[in-house]
Amino acid sequence: MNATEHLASRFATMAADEGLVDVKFYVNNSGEASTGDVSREVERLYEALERGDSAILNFQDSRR
Amino acid sequence: MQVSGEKAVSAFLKVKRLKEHWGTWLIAGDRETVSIEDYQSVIQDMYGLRIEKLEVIFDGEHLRGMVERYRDNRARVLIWAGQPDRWKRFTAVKELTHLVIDEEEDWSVEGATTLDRLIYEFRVQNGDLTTNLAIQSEVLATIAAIEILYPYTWRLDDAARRTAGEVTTEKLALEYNLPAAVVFRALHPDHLHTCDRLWGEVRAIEAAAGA
Repeated sequence: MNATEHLASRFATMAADEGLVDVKFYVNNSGEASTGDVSREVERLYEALERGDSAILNFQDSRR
Repeated sequence: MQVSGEKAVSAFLKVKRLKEHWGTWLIAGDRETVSIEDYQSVIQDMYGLRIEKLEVIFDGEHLRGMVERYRDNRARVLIWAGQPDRWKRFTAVKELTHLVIDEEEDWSVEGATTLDRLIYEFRVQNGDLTTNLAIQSEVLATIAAIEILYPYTWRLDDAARRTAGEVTTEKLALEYNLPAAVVFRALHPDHLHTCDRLWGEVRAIEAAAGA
């Protein structure tokens, strides 16, 4: 299974198990990337989430 | 590359509604850096969503961020931690904006196919009206995010100032806490012309509705 197929499988599982209905990406330098390259990056993102290598992002800029 | 005019006008109408709900429809001259946290709060209020934003540490290069939407009205915005803060801000706003402008017809869990369409279409760039909803969604989210962070009326003034040599793109980027590349795009004459037409159509729609 290549990176793109693995990613497709991941999203299918998320849809079935967690109710995922949509996923969108912001890709930089799209003209230079391959689908495989970006799929691998998305996989690295999810692996990082699973390891706990993430933090709540709060820009601390509320005026309310 | 063109996008559906109808979808673009719809996106701009939603931006206007957001700002009205927000209560920070700023008057020319009253310019404060837009609060990302308040933007998220407004989206949650208006659309009944529960949104989580995370920055993620991974070996990245091309992926600035992504957004997931779930059936139970949860959403998760995931931002690459390895990029400059101004890009984190813009990426967060762009991904949040998907939650506003995307209709169900734009939704897809086939993320690998979405990526493939995004990357293939950017390579082709044949200038034809695209029926690729993934591309249209990306273009519109980017345009709408610019309208949120750097409103059209501010940009008209700044474009004139820049032409007169009074300010540079980089100075404006610092002032608004935006990436210079975003400011450059936002002030491009073609982009300003497109936004002028779209805001004109929004005004016409509201006038017809008696708003």
